[in-house]
Amino acid sequence: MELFLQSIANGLVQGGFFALFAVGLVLIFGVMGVVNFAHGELVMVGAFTIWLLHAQYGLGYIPAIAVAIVLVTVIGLVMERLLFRPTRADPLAGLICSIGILFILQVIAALIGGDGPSKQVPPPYQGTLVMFESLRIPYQRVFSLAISVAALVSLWFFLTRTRYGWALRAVALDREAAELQGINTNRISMVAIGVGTALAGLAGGLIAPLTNINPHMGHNVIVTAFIVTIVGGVGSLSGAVLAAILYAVFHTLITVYFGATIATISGLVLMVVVLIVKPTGLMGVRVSE
Amino acid sequence: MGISRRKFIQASAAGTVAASTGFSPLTFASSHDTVKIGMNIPMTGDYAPWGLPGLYGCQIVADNLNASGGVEIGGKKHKIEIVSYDHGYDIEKAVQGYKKMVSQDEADMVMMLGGATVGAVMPWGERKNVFTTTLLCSDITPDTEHLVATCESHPLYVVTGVEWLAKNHPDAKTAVIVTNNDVEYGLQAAATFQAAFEVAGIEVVDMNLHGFDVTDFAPIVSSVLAKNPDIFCMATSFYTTPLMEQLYHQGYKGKVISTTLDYHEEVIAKTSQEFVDGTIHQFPAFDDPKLTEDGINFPDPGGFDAEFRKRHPNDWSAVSWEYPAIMLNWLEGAKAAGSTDSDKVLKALQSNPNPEFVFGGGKWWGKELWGRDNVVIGRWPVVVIEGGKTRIKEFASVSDWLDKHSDVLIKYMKSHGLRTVS
Amino acid sequence: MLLQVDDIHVHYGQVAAVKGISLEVDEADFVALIGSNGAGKSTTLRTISGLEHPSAGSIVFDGVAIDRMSADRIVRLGIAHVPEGRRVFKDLTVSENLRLGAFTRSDQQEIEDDLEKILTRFPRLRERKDQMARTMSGGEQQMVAIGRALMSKPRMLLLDEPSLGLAPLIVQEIARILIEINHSGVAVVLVEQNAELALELARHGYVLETGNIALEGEASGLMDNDHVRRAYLGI
Repeated sequence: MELFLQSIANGLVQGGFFALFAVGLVLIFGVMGVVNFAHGELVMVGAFTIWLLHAQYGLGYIPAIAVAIVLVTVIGLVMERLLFRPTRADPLAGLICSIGILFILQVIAALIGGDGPSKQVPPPYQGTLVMFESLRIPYQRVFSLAISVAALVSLWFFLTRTRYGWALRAVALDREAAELQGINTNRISMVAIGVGTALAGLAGGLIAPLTNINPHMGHNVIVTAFIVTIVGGVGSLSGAVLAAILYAVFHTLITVYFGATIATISGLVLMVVVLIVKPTGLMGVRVSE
Repeated sequence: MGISRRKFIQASAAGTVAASTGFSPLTFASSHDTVKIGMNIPMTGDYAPWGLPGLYGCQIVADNLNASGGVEIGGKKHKIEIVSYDHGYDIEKAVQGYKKMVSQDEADMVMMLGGATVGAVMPWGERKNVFTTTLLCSDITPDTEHLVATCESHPLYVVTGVEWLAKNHPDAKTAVIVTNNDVEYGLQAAATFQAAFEVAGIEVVDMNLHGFDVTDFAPIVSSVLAKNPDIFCMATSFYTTPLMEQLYHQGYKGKVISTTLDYHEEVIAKTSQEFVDGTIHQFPAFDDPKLTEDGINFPDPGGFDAEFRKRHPNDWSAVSWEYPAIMLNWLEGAKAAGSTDSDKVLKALQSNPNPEFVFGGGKWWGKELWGRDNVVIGRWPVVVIEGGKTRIKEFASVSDWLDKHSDVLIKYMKSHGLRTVS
Repeated sequence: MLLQVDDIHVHYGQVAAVKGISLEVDEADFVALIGSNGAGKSTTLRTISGLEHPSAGSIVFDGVAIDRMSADRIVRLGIAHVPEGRRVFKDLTVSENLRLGAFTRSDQQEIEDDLEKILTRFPRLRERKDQMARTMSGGEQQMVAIGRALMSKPRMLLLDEPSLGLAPLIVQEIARILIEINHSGVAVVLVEQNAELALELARHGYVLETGNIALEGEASGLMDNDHVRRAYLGI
């Protein structure tokens, strides 16, 4: 029972982190029609920024996260302006451009970080929260979960309570009909990629003290993001959040009781089963309507 | 068009490198002959910690030897030149680098880390009689006449750590093993630890073999800690930092034993010195006073350690001294043979029943498991972290253990489907 | 003259969909474009609202050339387009759909007042304003689409096949609403396959055939034209 509770807690922390980058991927895909393969590398850039500024140069953790978010957002905006917008007519072109960016970011990280082992960031928040005597969550993870939830709630508020939020959802649903409402879809694309990449930068900042940081860490991130997106229903934000949490708890429990390899296989099997049984995902809708 | 452009770039890059090194007037002006030591190793990527620091180490040892006039082989002084290639643990690049090193750079021998990259180069290496070295003794096969493991015999040395643990902490009776589930590193170490624990009378109550895709070690650690082990065994060198971090946060109080704990300062930064103190592993710091004792075959370990940390303060790892030790082995062989010819060096080395081994007590071994006595085993240090520093507790004989218990080892290797000849 | 379309040509790739169409719409006018499938009716509307751009010819709205302008800027000049198939935002609520219609406006208080007016005009929408648009019937979605267009306070409303797929009773209701809108001073350009309905409602009519204007004139006159009667009214 203790182990079960501990695992649920660990799964929720992971789920919050998964949701941050999966939601960004869905936003960008939904609004711009681009599968951003470089999304994992954006998380990596966020984590690298923390390593460089916080662990190497002693900038505070929170300011370093702020810089990571700004930097990753700028990269995203440049990608939209210089690559995705000019290639909008061709759905494959955006994808190929994003794969190019993926490699470029990896190489830049390797150049800045140098060769050698994965980087480590000492956790800024030391100590462990102990509940019910045996449930232990490091404060760093508590922090990570709290910020993830806060970011997701803010995003939800933005999307459902503000004019630009509605406009963003409208563009994702029907770009042309959105233009007919006077919505400048290029500007909304900038907002979408800005928000999506800012969340990736934040995710990188939060994961930095919890994992091995290296130029190709984005690979695992993007695989997880794809599973979560497909299980949640491509294009559905609430589906992505739900799937992120369910998948993280599922993966954590399988890891605990059956092993990590089985967990990875089960995750992929889950994705395939969803594709067969409910191709639209948990919250997805039929495209044919 | 694309291909010719790429060739153009490759050619100009090669030209630039040649212009800046190989054909420099200084080389021609030298009255010495040179021996060329090849290092075909990962310097980037996940495996970089077991490549790059070795290049740094070899450069220091080579600089010292060159400064004292070089090495005398066959009556002539030779300067040492190191040629290196970063294969990033990519098999195709490893083959490319190996061939380039031998054909183009005319390396006299090639040092490699081991695993799939070594397996891929050896068929060609055997045809060309290239003296090649590995850190993984499981790379040896009946067909690899020119492949030797003369320093680290990963993971055989871990038996000494378990032996020491059982002797000094007799109350620790149960263990869990966590490692990556690859055939080259993780499973070999898992099997060896299992054998060592069985011999020491310690029960392995859980074993967690995970892939290289794990980003969160919290569930893995909670799952094995649920078995309340006295000993937490890391048969991995890839994930020691996140595993230690999780042990710390999940309140683990028992013993920790690991193949290695490189970058333990990093672990301390993520946990606490108090927590890391007492961890047992197998790779000493070279300023250790015990390395000045008799029987150690490494020139001035303390001076080497100081110079390394001066040049590369944050890059010390297990391989920092291992590749230099292998290079020194080969130089001994070349001196004895009076030649740099692969077969002659090999013959000179293997005709010595007590080869020089870095920690002493060396002997040729391996036929029983892999079909060839191309591995040098000997004494190996057991180290414990004390006050945040790695300190040698004792040297123990790997060969004594294998003489008595190799059948147990073979049993566990077979249980994981690992290759043995018996 | 509110809108003047002068000899426009529109191509989709190599295919010419519109080959020289001219039409005029007065302030508070009601104009119908009729014709069979592929005659160029929808393309003409899409070109006016900026979703397509003409390869030749000009479009002037209230003295401003709009043939090179992007759709979102044209909305700001006072042209609202209810596209074919309604195209409501299905995963947004009815009230979010309507508010998006006012995206170009910043007069918060007036927006609320206009929303109130529209909910009064379409009582069914008031009952369902917090429901997702996808849960509504076809007729209700058409009302959302028209309401959304009105929220931009247009001077001219373009409608593309509003009766398509709707029950006769609902079609009548939509027709009544269109007349009301027109009477409130908004010019209406209606594209319909249901030529009878369109000519009943409109003052002026244009008959489009293969990208050209075949006939034009008073709606009542067209209704009596033999060619129109045979080809489009089925009499």
